[in-house]
Amino acid sequence: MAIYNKHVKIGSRAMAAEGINNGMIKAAEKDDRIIAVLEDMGFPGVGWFKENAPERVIECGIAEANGAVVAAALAAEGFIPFIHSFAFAAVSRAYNQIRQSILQDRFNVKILGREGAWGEPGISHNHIEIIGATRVMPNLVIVNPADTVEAEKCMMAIADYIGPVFLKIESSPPPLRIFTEDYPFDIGRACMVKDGKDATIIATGYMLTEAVLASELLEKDGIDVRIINMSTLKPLDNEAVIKAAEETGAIVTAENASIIGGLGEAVATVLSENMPAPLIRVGIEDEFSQSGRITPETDELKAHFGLGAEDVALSVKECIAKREALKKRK
Amino acid sequence: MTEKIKCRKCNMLLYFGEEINRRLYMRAIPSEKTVLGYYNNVCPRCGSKLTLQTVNIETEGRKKWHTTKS
Repeated sequence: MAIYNKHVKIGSRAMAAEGINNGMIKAAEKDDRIIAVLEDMGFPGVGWFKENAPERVIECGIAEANGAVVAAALAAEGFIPFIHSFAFAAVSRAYNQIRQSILQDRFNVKILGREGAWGEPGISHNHIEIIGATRVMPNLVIVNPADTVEAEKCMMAIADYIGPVFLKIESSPPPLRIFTEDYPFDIGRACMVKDGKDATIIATGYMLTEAVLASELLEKDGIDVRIINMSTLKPLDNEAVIKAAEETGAIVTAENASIIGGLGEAVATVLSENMPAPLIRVGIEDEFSQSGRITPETDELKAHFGLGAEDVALSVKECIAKREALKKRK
Repeated sequence: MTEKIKCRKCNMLLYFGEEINRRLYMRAIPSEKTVLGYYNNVCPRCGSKLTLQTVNIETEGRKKWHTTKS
C-alpha cells in the first residue's frame, strides 16, 4: 500500500478547470485591480464578473496580439490583467507582443492558456510545443497545475505574485483529485507526492495522474517509485531534481507536451550539469498533435502518443535497467 | 542569469526574472528595493515586513567567463 505525502489523498476525477474558476473568483473578490481580458473564448468565473464587476471585463475578440498589448497597457496603469484563450492563440499568435510589450518590461500580466496535447480540438488547438515556446522567454513564470485543488491554489498564488505568469490549463480529460484542501502550494517549489527508493517520476500537469496510476502498477512488481509534482516549470525546483537523482538514481519525466524544450529537457539540463543520472522522457515526440476522441472508456490520443500509466510504468522499468547497465560498465 | 527574491520567513517567491542589475540601459526594474515596494514592503502571504534583510536574493546561471571581461 503506497504511503503518500500528508497533503495527498487520491480521490475521484474532477476537472482542473473547476479549480481555475474558483481560484479566479476568489482572487477577483480579493483584489479589484484584476481585469478579465477575453479573447472570444469565455473566461474562468465569467458569470461572477458579469454579475459583480462587468466593468472589469474587456472583450478583445479573436485578436490575441491586440489582447496582449491591451493587457500590457492595463498592467502599466497598475491593473492585474488575466488573459484567457487557447494556448496556441493567447501565446503563440501573440508571441511577439508578449515578448516586446509584456516581458521586456516585466508587466504584471497573467496568461491562461488552454489545451495540452490531446482532446478533440485537434492539430491546431492541441498546442504541444507550448512549454518549450514559453520556457525560453525571460521573466516569465510558467505553472501547470495537476488537479483541481492545486489549480485553485495556483490561481490565488499567481494573483499575489507581481510579475508575468503563463498558466497552462489542461481542460480534458479530468485528472484525479490528488491534493487535500490544506496542500501548501508555492510557486517554484516541487512537491514530493510519494517517496520511493527505486526510481523517480517527475510529472507535470495532468501527467501526475498517470504517474500516480503508474506507481500503483509498479508496486505490484515490487518497484517503489518516488513521485514529484513539478507544477512550476520555470523557475524549476533544481534541488528536488538533484536530490531525486542522488537518492534514486533513475529519473522518468512525464509531460502532456512535446519532449523538445519541455519538462524533460529542463530536468536533463539540471541532471547533466549537477548530478548525471539515467533519464527517460515520456511525452510527445517531434510531431504535431491530432484530434482524438475522449470518452469515459476511450482516450484515443493518450494511447496514440503513449502517455498512459502503463507507458510511464514501462519507462520506469527501462530507466532502472539503464541504470543497472551503466553500473556494470563501470 | 536569473534572479529570485523570496520572503525569508515564508519562502514566497516575490520576483523571478532577469538579474536586476544586469541590464546596461532601460532597466524595467532599477533595484531589488523597487520589487519590495511593489508589495508595499509587506509579504502578501505571511504579512512580514519586506526589507533587503528579510528576503533571500539568489542569482544563478551566470558562468564565470561571463564576468571576467568586466
